[in-house]
Amino acid sequence: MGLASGPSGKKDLNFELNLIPVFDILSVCICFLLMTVVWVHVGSMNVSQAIGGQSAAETKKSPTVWATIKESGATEFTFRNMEKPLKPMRINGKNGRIDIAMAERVVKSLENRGLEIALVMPSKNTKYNDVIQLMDLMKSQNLKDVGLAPL
Amino acid sequence: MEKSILQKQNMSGVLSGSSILHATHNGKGKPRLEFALNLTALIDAFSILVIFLLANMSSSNQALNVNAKTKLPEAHSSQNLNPGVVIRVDGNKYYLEEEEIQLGQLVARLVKIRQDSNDLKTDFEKESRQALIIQADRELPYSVVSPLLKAGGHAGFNHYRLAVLPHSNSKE
Repeated sequence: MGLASGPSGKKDLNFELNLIPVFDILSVCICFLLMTVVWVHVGSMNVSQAIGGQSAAETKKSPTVWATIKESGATEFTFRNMEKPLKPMRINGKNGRIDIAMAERVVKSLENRGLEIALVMPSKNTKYNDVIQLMDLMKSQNLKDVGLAPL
Repeated sequence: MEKSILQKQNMSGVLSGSSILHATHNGKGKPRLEFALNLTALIDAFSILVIFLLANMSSSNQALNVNAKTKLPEAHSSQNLNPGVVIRVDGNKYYLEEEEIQLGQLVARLVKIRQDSNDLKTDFEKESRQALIIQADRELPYSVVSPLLKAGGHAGFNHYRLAVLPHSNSKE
């Protein structure tokens, strides 16, 4: 607000609002929100449908690893269409869950075996997180495609 | 007589203080009033707003409503979440694009969504309706998620995107 003297000597009351403090508070509030807001960056794991519409005869026979998760958390890795046949590998579960550390060792041992496709077949009680972890391990081995089979 | 501090201070407001009044020439002619507004503060505030919006918009292409109780699984090999049809699992309830739905109705609704996507104009919009985004808590059993895969398969969805959190090194 300001007071100005008019030409007649009387004081005119002009109402003027100083907006600078308003903008200052606004910018401080915005900076505060920027600092304190929790950013949740959601990603996605892209999977393909394990049961497709293509007939078995048309499907290209690529080297595939099937990871079957049992109710106990034990996981069995079987191999199909391999140039050099591989024996199935089995790891025991840990407290009813997948032993991710052992699974990681097994998956890393499959490096340079020419595998192209992985298929995960969980059981009904398998935790969703365990399924994701196993698929994550498969994807880390640069497999072309990772599929997930429904029950 | 010495003037007081109040009398010495400029009592005019900011707007009037920044206005420039040109004096008349020899008392003739109308005085011209030029108004100048300091825009620095305005531009400062708006630039902060723009940066805030840019940071918000560039995070992902698909906005997900993640319940506070829902903990998404973490994965190292995660990709950007592209748009798709979102199915959310909350306990034993299923939500198709934030609308609660029964499992028995899911296939029919998904088929309708795929059919409606043919009427979309742009390729981007059509592509965004070709994938199914599944959002579920990490501790749920797979038996809760499996029906969604089956329903998607029956409805003709070939691509599934499982909503995950990019893995962080922080310990919880």
